[in-house]
Amino acid sequence: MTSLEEAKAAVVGDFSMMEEWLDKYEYLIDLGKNLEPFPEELKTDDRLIKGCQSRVWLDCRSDAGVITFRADSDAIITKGIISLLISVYNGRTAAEIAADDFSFLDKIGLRENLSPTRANGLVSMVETIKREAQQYV
Amino acid sequence: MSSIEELREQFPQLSTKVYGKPLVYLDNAATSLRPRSVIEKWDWMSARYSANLHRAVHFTSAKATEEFEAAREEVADFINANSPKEVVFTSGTTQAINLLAFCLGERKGFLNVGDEILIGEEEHHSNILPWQFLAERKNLKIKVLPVDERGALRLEELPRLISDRTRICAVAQVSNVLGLVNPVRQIADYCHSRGVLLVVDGAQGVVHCKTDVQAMGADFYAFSGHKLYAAPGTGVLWGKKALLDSLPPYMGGGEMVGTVKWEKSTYASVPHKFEAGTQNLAGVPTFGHAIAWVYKFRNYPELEGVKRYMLEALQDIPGLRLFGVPEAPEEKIPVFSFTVEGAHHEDLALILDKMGIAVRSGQMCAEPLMDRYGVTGMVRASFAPYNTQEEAEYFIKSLKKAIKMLK
Repeated sequence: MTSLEEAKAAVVGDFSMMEEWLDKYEYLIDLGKNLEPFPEELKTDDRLIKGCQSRVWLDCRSDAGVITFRADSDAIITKGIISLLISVYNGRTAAEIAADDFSFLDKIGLRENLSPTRANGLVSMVETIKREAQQYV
Repeated sequence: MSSIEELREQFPQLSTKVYGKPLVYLDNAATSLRPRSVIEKWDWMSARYSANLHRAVHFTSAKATEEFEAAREEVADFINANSPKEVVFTSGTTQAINLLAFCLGERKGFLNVGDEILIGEEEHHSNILPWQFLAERKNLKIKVLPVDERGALRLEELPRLISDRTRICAVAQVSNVLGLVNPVRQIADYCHSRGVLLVVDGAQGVVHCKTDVQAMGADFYAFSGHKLYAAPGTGVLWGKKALLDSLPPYMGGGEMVGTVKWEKSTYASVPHKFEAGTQNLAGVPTFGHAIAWVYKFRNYPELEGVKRYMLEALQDIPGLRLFGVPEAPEEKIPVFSFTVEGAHHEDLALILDKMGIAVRSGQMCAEPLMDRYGVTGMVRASFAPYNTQEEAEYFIKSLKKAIKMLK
């Protein structure tokens, strides 16, 4: 398995090849469409991430401190974003995730280029991922 | 008559670019853009006439007061109020309705436990929550006047919903989601025949409909300046003079007093009774210029064509559902809310944004209406008279492209 830093670098590399924002959206839409199906019974209120315009669910499990996230959203671009996040962080240890600064998101322009409501949604996603991981540290 | 290009030059924001593309501003129902005349007046009031109103004897205070009171006369004339005294300045529609709901609640002998308030199903949260607060405080019951599939209020339900306990009916002149012009006069007549006060939210209607509060038959009418090309943080509560006189004050503070004694204080007469504290000194005087633009725009028929084009073009898109479908185009203002099968409203708005188009997405502060239609949100494109046919066509083309990307 690649390291966390390698996984982040791969994402930054992918995004650096896309100049147009519409291309970045195409990329996120693809990620969203290909995200593993999320079990309907996990779509509970306690798994809903607050602060997003669309609905985003996140499920977090730990196997001896190694974290697996599953996620879904009713909006496809948001689903792409959460898919990108969990693909980077899945299989990492809880300690590694909780200690990460998520600054690679700035390098792909996800933070500053998305609209304020979306940027808030992203902040909520990141905070939820960290908080969920933290409880298994 | 000057051309649409000359007219657009008067709105500086129209020439801005977003992501390197010309801004196509179709979120006018949220807030309109402001013309130079309004911006200059606003700036002038800040730069030259900063002084508090009605209080000091000095020259600048007198001038600022003059400007503020002139705006009251212009607004009164614009909505055909009986007198400028019927015009209360607020920070916007929201404050106007909150003020009214509070004061009606405190009006002696008006509301008793178990009394009812009837609210339109398509109301903005600003015309729901103040009444819910009031109902909770006074133990009242809220009833809902439903809309039909098309989005029209079901007036035939009025006799069933209005009882001897109904005191207040609150509806929009035009819903911010549906854009349909409600038959307010008819509702007013029925309400009055049953002794019910009618409160009309004019935030959207005042922009596009010729508004005559007396002919409309409302008892109270509220609207915002910022959707009407005036400065943000300005708004109006109009009420019939005798009704305003019958209400207690809202907030206590400077400006709204008669005499203040430890034993008992008295208050200024309307409208100043409701204008406690320092007012929006720079913003309110922009109403005159804003209203001048409303009159000017009435001579530009282009928007009517844009509206007809939008109604047809939207309904031609497969899987698109338009909410607020008029029987005739005259029944609708150029506000188009819709959903597209298989494409989430937020995704559509995000992609349109990157194409330079500003639209609204989500619940649009009308969650009960979203529930009624069983949707989590909609996309809304709302036009102003400075929007062109080319912009409408670009919007439709971009929307089709966005749908294709998502499917």
